[in-house]
Amino acid sequence: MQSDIDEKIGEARASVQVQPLTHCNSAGEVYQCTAAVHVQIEAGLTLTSSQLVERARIADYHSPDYFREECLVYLIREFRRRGDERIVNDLSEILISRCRNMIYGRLQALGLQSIDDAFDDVILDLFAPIVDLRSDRGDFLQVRFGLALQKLIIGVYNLHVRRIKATQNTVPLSSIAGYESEGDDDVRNSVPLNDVADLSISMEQRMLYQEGLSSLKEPYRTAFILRHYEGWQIDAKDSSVPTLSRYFKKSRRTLQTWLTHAEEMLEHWREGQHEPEQ
Amino acid sequence: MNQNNERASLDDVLNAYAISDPGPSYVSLPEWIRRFPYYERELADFTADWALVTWLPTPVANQSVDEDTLVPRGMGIVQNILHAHAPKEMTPLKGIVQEGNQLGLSIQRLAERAQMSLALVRKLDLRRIRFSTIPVQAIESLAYAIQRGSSAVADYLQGAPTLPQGASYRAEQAPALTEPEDFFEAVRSDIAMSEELRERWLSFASPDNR
Repeated sequence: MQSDIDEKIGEARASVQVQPLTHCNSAGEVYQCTAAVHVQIEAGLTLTSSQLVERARIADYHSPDYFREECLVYLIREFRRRGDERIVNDLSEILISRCRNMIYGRLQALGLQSIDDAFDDVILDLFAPIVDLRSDRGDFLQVRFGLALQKLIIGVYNLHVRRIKATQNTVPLSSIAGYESEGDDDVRNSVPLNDVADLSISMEQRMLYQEGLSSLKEPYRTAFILRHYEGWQIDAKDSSVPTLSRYFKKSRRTLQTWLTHAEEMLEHWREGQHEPEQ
Repeated sequence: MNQNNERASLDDVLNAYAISDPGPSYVSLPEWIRRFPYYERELADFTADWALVTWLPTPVANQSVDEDTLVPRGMGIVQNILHAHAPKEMTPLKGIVQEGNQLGLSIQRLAERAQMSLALVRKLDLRRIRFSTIPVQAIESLAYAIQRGSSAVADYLQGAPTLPQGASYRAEQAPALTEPEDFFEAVRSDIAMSEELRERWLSFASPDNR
């Protein structure tokens, strides 16, 4: 009896058209999900409730039955539209389960005091647009879920770094040699670009230091990564060139002090790694 | 001040930047700033944070947390959202703080998410800030904080000023409300706001109003 009902539900679902996305990108073009995701959604809509959830639980990315996250997002919205709370809950749980390590792993740099709130924020920012049927602001999650999630994590990370900076004042600037007050900063008196090239570190050092980057405090960590891993210039006369000096609103001299301090900390960390265990 | 609906939303710009080739980087940043100069700071922040996410090592195992607790924790948040955004409810926003509460956000966390002080959030919630002076970035920040559309927030902020809920008065009648404040004046006089946030909000004022 139950199987007959399920079968009829499945048939009815098969006739449901996949709803097109409606949100436009910054160029004014409507987002499109990939053909692969479209096929998965269509397949999902032909399944019975139990089959759908069972298939969504497949965690092996290489399985032909694996539902991509973009597909899960669509299905959560679709069953929300139909008022089927049980499937919405099941699919949401599966989606969180898939993302939790990425979210928590990326946020660990914030420290234990902030990570739980930050995790909650990412989940809120992820699911609010998914389940809000009044809006299409979550359409991008059906186009490139991984990148969309990374963007959300970055937004939350940034928010918490600012909060930590504002509340804890973790950077004792005044205790650092070379520290200058805000008033001394003047990017117009900067030096030529080629004058800062001697601050670069070798490729080998970059590789050796990478594992230790988490041990650095802000703003040293960001300054060091932007300078030595992304190649940001410290200063530039051309105002259209983004520089560390403009980004941090600090003078070249302060930035050099930060970078030197960061390198010293990383050297210290590296020496600690090589000390024999007691 | 806030009627700037022609420009692309920050969310759409960052989405496009994220999927662009070669992706967010120091090399591509100047071009994106050239295209969207009004988001210069946001694009720079995003590029910097993208670099951090790229280069910071991801711990092999998440320490100090039982991974199995993350799913129920996350589902608790989802339940709040499902309750707050019931599909049948197409009613307009009843309040910024109230909407946040429905999502499980305290006013403190709401203020943090909006990058505002508690006092400024309260004033906006009570519609004690003149709408015409509120920059579009503040509306977007509040919309982000409570995960509602900017237009719903803008509609709410244009309503009549209100008194705090549950307030009691000695007189028989509630006191008359004072004139709504200018947004930037409220920012300038906010003693609880950090200098960084004050600088951020004042940067959206016209040069003669900073």
